[in-house]
Amino acid sequence: MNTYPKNVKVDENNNKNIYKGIYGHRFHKDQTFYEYLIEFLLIFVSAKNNRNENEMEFHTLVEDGKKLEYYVKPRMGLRRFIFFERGMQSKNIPEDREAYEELCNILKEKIDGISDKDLFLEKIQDLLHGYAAVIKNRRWCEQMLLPVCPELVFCEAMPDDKKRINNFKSEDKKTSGNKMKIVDSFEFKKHNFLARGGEVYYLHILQELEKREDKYRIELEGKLKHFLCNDSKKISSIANWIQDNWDLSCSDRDDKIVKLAMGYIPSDAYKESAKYTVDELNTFLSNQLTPMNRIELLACGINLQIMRMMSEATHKYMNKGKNCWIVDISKEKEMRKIAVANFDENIDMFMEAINKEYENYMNENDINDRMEEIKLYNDGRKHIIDNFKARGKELKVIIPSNGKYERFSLSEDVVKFLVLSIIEPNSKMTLDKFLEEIYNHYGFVIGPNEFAKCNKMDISLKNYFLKNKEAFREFIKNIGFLKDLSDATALVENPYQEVENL
Amino acid sequence: MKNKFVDYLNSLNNVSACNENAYAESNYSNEYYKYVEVKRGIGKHIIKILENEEPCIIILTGHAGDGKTSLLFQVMHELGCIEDNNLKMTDEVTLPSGKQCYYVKDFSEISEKLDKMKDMLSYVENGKFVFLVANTGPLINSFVDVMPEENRDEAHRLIIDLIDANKGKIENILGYKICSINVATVDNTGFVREFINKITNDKLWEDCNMCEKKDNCFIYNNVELIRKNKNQVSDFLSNHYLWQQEHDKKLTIRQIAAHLSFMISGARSCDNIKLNDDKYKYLFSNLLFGYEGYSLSIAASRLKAIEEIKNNKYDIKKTFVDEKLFINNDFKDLTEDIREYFKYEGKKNGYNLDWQKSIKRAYLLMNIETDKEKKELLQKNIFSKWFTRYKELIKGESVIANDEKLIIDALWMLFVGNLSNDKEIPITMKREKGVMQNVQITIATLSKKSIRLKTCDEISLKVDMIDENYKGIYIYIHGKKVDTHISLPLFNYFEDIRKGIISTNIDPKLSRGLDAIKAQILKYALEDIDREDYEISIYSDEEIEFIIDKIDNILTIN
Repeated sequence: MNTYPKNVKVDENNNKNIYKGIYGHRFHKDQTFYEYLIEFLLIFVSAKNNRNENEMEFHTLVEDGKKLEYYVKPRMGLRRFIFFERGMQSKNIPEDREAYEELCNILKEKIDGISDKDLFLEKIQDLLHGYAAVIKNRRWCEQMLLPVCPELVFCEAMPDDKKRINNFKSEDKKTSGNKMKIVDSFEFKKHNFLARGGEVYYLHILQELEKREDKYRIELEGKLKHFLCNDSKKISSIANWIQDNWDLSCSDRDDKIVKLAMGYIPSDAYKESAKYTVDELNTFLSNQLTPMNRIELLACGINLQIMRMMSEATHKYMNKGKNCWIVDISKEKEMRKIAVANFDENIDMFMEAINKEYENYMNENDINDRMEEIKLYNDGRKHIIDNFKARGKELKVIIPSNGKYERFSLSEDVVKFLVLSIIEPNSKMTLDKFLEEIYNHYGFVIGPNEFAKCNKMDISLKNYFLKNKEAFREFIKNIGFLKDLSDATALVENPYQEVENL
Repeated sequence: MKNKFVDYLNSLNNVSACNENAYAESNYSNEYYKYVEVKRGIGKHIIKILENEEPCIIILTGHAGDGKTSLLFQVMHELGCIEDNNLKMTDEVTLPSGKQCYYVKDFSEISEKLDKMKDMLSYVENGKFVFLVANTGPLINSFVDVMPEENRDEAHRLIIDLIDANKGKIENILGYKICSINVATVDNTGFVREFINKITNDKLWEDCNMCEKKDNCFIYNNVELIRKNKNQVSDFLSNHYLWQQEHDKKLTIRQIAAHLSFMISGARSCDNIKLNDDKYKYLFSNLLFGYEGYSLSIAASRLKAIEEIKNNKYDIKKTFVDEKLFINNDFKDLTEDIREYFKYEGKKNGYNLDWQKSIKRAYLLMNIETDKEKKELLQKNIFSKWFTRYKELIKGESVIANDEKLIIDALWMLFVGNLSNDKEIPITMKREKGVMQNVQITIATLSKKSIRLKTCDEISLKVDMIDENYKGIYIYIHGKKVDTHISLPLFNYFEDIRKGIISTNIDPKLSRGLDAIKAQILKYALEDIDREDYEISIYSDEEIEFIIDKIDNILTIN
């Protein structure tokens, strides 16, 4: 298999990913909605070498056989401050609480001008915790915030139980050195939650950026930087104040920079859509949006693009042409039937691809453990098919959220992302052209023209697609993106202004 | 005795546009057309272009029923370029200036569109005008397709921008001089007053004077009542159609003509009138709303305009006159003719809700109130608090402090969630949905002094009279324009949030506009921050506020 970057190998230890030949390394079902965006941005904001260089830039040097690296700052002091009191704690490790209290005391000493410093710190915690993205039932250090500024884009951290228990058992655990090891023992490379889906997305983008001029890459970097920094400098300064004081409190503090290495993607799997992904990202970031709105929408967009990637890789592997997602908007019985059948075809294609790869693997490898066989097979369903459906249901691109008759649809947020990423700010195109574009970009089939293109034109079905198109026209009008020009012609309009002075 | 004009009126509301007198098509050749034709300002504008400008393509687009063909007829007729009141599908005529003009009545009906488009572009190059009435879809496609392959994307963008901008001026598109006018977006409420005047003109009803059923004829009675209350009827209807327009539900000329003609005749002919009929049987104020007395009219339900006016539920809106009318049964403010009728109706059928609604409809169209303030109050009750003011602003009145106060209050509610007398509006990093955030950080502030509301000239054609275009209303921050036009629904939304009425479930259409406004205001506010010296304000739901003066190693709170 050809990989991007070329000739990269993945060391899997006990965790085999037999489907990496199709999808790269890797998609994982435990990666949640915001964590694709967070992981992608984490790579972007991180230094690209141990000299702390090229933060907020894309990699420019991709070498054969070499994994791309990025150097993350764990900022465990900051995360302890935000999450410790509100997340699950390791109850039998009192050093954790001691460290938290120590941190609060350090910060209190660094506050001037008020008497009730506890109240102030509590409010700062409330403020930062208000940007929580992933809480669930995770331990405090595993929780994540929305990427409102670069400092709050956290890497994955799990308490390193082995190290902690060993140190805990040790006779002289109370020495400051050991205590610090207990407090600072985290595992950053497990990829349980930031499970490399964001890395796959990053590589997908990088592969396309290599083809573009430097100017284009630099422009995109500028827009991403604006996305992360423009409105949130004040939050950054508070976050830095917390972390810096924690770091300064002890010169041996072990909040070192952690080197992470990316896997690879199959060099051909995502090639077709890469040009769209990069242009969509670039166009989307050009819109003048409020900060929280643009984060929510980009998270939504990246999940949609990842669904497209999964689908494209599957079609490529099965040597099929372009994917086609028939979207049910009219919710009429016949249209629903057509869309359900199409959805099943798409899922069947995933199943076939996974079965084929599984069989190939079994033929080439001698696996005697039945349990392992089952696990390997189920991994494909879980991490690819179930993951694809989970992305879709979260976006409401697949409905219903529970129960039978699953099919593709479109939600308000998804349509908003489509408009803002395909139509330049303050510009417009005809509805027909927009339908053509979303077919070219994603394979969404709404009206009869696109249905004909996906090579399935059954003239008797044309009327259902006309009604479906009419329902879409009404839908997009009701959410404020459609402007009736005259007679049957309508324009889809991106009403947002363009971000200037990047 | 039969009045043929009633049949003509009925042909206008005979729903299908294919009937013999659908307002445009063959209508202009009807003998009554000259009596009811409303000459439009845009027609005069086109004549000026044909008389004074260099040859170009004049494109006239709009919805079906917007009066495109009538406009072509008006222009050609006034220039004396047609004979026998007949337009051909295409024709080349000689203008009074001696120049040639090639017109196309309906581009959609031309079979070889690409060839025709090529021809027309070459006509202009050869010094002829082209006057093209076209549906937008085929027009855009043909224009793009005749361009060289490499220019097609640009041609698509340019032609869409040209039609959408609707400036009504000649512009250069890839070397071709084109003037595009889209009547779909032009205010047609001016049509109402003139059309009502024309269809109630004495001359058209002269035949009725010789009819023995005249005193029992509801049609004739309706015409009489409309004549007597002409201003009130025209004002109410112009306001209603403007309301529709502002809420993206604009009615076409054809739909308005059908509505107004139905208001008079209820789709009934002279033959339907009996000698002993009650002349108030189908009162025009009821017909206008789709009612025959208290019952819904089946014929009316086919008319789009009636469906729309019913949706607005004007007849159940609370107004300041309700008590006077329904509790005191005081009908002195109604036109004299119908006072006794409503008293009688109440006695006969009961003083129920149907009776009240019928009176309310009559009051909207036939009240004799002369007090300006009360008239305005009624408009506020029926349309919305800001409706009258909005009209004044778009028609050129200056913004006053009270208008700006609305915007300032609304921005407080949008950015903070409550009102305050502080001089600065804090702008926070608030999440859009779903998550409780009881502490906020201020990322910028907006001083009230920096917020202005201004009216400025609109570039695109908004009204039928080219020289009297509407103004656009915009927010300015530190002298910089926020590009989203403040529409009537936005004014009303601002009033609602100021009163705390709407907190969630905002109409998504409005939310697009609001998102764009908020984003641009934030941009301007951030630009205004002095980078060297800015404080951080953190405040919580419990009204605890911390102002951080400085952050380095030590965090200093003011």
